[in-house]
Amino acid sequence: MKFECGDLERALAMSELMPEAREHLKQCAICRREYRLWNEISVTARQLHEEWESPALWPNIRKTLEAEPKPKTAFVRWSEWKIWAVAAAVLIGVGLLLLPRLEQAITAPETKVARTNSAADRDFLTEQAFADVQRTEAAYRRSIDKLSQLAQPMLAERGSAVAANYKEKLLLLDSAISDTRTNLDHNRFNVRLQTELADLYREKQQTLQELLTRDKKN
Amino acid sequence: MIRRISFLAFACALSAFAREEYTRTFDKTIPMQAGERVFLEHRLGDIVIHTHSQPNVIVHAEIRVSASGSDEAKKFADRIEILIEPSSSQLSIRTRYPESPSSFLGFRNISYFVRYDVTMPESAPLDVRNSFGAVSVTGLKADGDIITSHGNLEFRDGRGTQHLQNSFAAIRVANNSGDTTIEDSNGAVDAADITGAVSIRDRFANVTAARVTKGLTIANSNGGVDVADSGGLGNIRNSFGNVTVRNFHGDLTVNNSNGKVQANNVDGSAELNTTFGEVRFSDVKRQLSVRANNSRIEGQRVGGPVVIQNSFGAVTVSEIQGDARIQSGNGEVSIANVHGPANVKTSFALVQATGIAGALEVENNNGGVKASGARGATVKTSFAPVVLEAISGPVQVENQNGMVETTSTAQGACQPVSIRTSFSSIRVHLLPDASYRLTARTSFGKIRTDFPLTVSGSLSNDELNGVIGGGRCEMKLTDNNGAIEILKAGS
Repeated sequence: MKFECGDLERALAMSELMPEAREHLKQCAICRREYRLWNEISVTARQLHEEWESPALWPNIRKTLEAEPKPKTAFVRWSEWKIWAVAAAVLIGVGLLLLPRLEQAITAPETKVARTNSAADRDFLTEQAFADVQRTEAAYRRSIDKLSQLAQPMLAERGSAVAANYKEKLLLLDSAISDTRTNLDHNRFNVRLQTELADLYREKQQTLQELLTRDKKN
Repeated sequence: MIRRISFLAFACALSAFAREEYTRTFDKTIPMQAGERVFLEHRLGDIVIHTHSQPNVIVHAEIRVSASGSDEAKKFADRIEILIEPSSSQLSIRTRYPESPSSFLGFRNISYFVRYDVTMPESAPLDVRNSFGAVSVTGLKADGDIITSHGNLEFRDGRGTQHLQNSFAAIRVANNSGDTTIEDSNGAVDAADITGAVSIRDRFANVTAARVTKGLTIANSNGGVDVADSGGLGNIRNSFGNVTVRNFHGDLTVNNSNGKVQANNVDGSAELNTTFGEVRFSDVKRQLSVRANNSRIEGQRVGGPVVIQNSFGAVTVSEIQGDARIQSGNGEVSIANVHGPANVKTSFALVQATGIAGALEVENNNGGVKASGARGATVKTSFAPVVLEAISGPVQVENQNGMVETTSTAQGACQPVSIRTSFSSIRVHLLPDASYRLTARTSFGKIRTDFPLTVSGSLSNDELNGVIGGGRCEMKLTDNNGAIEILKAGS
């Protein structure tokens, strides 16, 4: 089997693929970076694990996410903050992993599937690059949506200037994302638009990340 | 056989999903009349504008299309129109994209953009409307109104009144002679070398301005503001970001919140306001006013009077050429080398003052006062000590539950002293030639003096009336539950 970047995720789950993965990592800087990020997240998660109050992390998160947001729930209970922090860290980590893949997909060199006028041109995506972009974008959006849900209690803090600011910025970003997506509907292979969308997602992720880590810093 | 069919199906699929690109260019030269303006309306693509001294506009456009087939790409590219519409007052250049058709698979499969390179007369006013594309304008010697979004806007080497607007991307202006208005949102602004007034409005990004000569107004939020080597009237408003100003030649006002303010070397007066962020200043040539909350304030070298209002933060100032008026709640105050009177008000914190050329007035609660070198001192506090040294004018102290200690340096001059406290001692150090009419009263404490005293009236443990030296000045010491000591300086 020829090991490719797309196999890395599988190799992380299946130890028997790791020797091949390691060989591949020696030659591929992008995968090395991804692998390093995975390791960092694993280490962080392990450190946080010692402090969990509940072993049922994901069921708890799922339950919280599935529950209808109640308008009066403005604050996260202190007893739950660790779980929220871990969930945020994991989601941020996933986002960090997905974004480079999204960017990589957008800026990937023309592949053999595409027949372009000039090999140096990067103004348009190829079909394959577009498919990659769509796939990673969908995953990235899901992770941002989850982050957004985690941030909702903080954004709902009434009378907080900080919350109002973040809310305003997120609204602005959502409006720009929507505008860009509308344009992309008619121009889906346009690299500039795809890059712009990725930048906006990145900014939204950073904004949510800032908001979620703010309480820990203070 | 099955394998062969699969392979054929895969090959068909590949060819169905392969893409072709097509590029065509548009070139046109259009003559222009003097005074005519250029209007360029576009979206989805960059615009580069140069100027020349010729009375014509040269439009070069690169139209690029990507589609699943070359015919489809060409057909679509041919339908993209560059509309040139001359009129008596304006030359319009517009991009018109056709509706992108749906493919047989039910989704739009064509992508496209147009990139402009325009050369226009330098003296023609310019209007640009773009979105999802960068705009770069160089050498415009007329008024400009340039609006874009999602693409950097760069303007350089211009002359005239400029309005530049962008969102979700940066604006960079370098070298313009004329007033310049810049509006951005979520994009950094960098303006430099502008001979004219500059107004910048932005949010969620940093603003940098340098060498702006005729006044600067900045309204930003959620981003830093950095101003250097500029002048005129400076008015900066910001929130959730730091403001830094260096070398400002004129009066400066900064209104910030939730961010630091730093102003160094301001030729005129300075008004610096913020909350939840420290204020630092130095070398303000005229008066200074600082209003802050929950901030630390620190600065030196002010050429005029200083007024500072703060709460929940320390204030440390020095080298003030005029009066100093400082009000701080729950924050320590330290002032040094004030060339005029100083008035300090705080609570629950220490006040320290040294080298006050005028009279010192301190009002404190639950905080100590330590002063050295002032032309008179009036101090009011409670539950903390008061220590006054080298005070050359009248001394008046009202304390509760705190000791008071003063040292006089008023050689030969009359220095009235009035001190009242309770539940602690009063200690007064006088020069050997001291000359006072003394009234000292205490309860549950002793009165002791190093000076020979001519006593008058009845003698008791808790009250003493007498004369020290020639009795030229009034000294009134009142205590409750504390000792009173009148000592020779140095003892």
